[in-house]
Amino acid sequence: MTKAQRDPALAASLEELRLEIEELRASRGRIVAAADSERREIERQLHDGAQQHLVALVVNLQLARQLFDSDPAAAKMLLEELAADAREALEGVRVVAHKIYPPLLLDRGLGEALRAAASAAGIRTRVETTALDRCPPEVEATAYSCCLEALANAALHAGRGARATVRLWHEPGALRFEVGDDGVGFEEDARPPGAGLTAMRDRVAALGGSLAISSEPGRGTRVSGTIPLSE
Amino acid sequence: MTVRVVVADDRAPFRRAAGSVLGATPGFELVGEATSAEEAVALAGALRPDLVLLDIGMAGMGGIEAARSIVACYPETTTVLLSTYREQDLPAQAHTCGAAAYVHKSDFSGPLLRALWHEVEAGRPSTRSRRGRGARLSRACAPTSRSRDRA
Repeated sequence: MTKAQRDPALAASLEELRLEIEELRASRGRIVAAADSERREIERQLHDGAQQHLVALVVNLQLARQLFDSDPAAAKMLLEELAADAREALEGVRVVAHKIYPPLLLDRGLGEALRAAASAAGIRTRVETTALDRCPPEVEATAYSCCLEALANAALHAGRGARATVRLWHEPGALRFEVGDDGVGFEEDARPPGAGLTAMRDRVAALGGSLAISSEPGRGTRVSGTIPLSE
Repeated sequence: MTVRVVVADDRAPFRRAAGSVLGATPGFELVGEATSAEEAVALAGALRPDLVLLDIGMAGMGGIEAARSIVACYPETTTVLLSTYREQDLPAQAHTCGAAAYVHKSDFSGPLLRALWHEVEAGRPSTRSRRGRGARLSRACAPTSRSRDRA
């Protein structure tokens, strides 16, 4: 008989540890899969968007060069059209670059980046930050993506006329964030966590943090997270 | 003789650019545009064009399968594959689908079109790589003996 078999408390601890390792492996797999999926999406957006405009631009520039001697008026008209194509290509690149890492987040931090993003979140949102200092990029990027995901969920599920509030603040050794809405809420047991919530949990857990969601029918939904900051 | 051309691509920017090139190239006429591979095959049957330009990554069955269908059903129609892939990244089936040539989209131009058609008409399409003004006909995608016989 092994020591664990003789000691129920030790056996329980070992079982708990085994489950944690299993979850850790699953979570690592999901994080890798999510990163791959994001890369594929970026490739698709670049290929279908900016690259197509740039290819058309090259083809038309060659054409304009050919027309320059034989039909200058047509060449001029074509060049004017090309400016519009170039602007579309630029916009495509800007959108993809923003998805990879929002420039405002990099330059101005979480508060301003979330205020800018919240205006397009599809739900009226107030962003409150209290003496928020800059955090390491991975912490800010994780908090940013979780808040946006929570806002997107609120926009989808909170119901017509609902409002959302994003709060960010520091606690000793940690960054805290909370996204709450005053919408219709839901019965927590009735809805299994979706892929978005699981991805948020995985991301926060990868930085040693935790994420919780609470909701009640008629009383809105609240997603709150804690991300530790190394000393 | 005017070469009647169908352009098949599910992305509008290249369709527009190809239309402009065809409009400015004497001897070529754009007679139809398709936004999917299936539509390209249908247009090849309905319009019986001389040339169908097919984007490889097009929605539906894709340009390669569309070329295979067009070559099988309408052997008098020449098909040319287009994409933004480098030649070495082309799918293996591109080499065997019966398309007369592969053209990188950014190389597409009137002079290339004329050179390509000249070789198709001469019945001895290029089997070497050409890079005049950025244009090229692919060695890998030069016509198979089957498509040459049918062309």
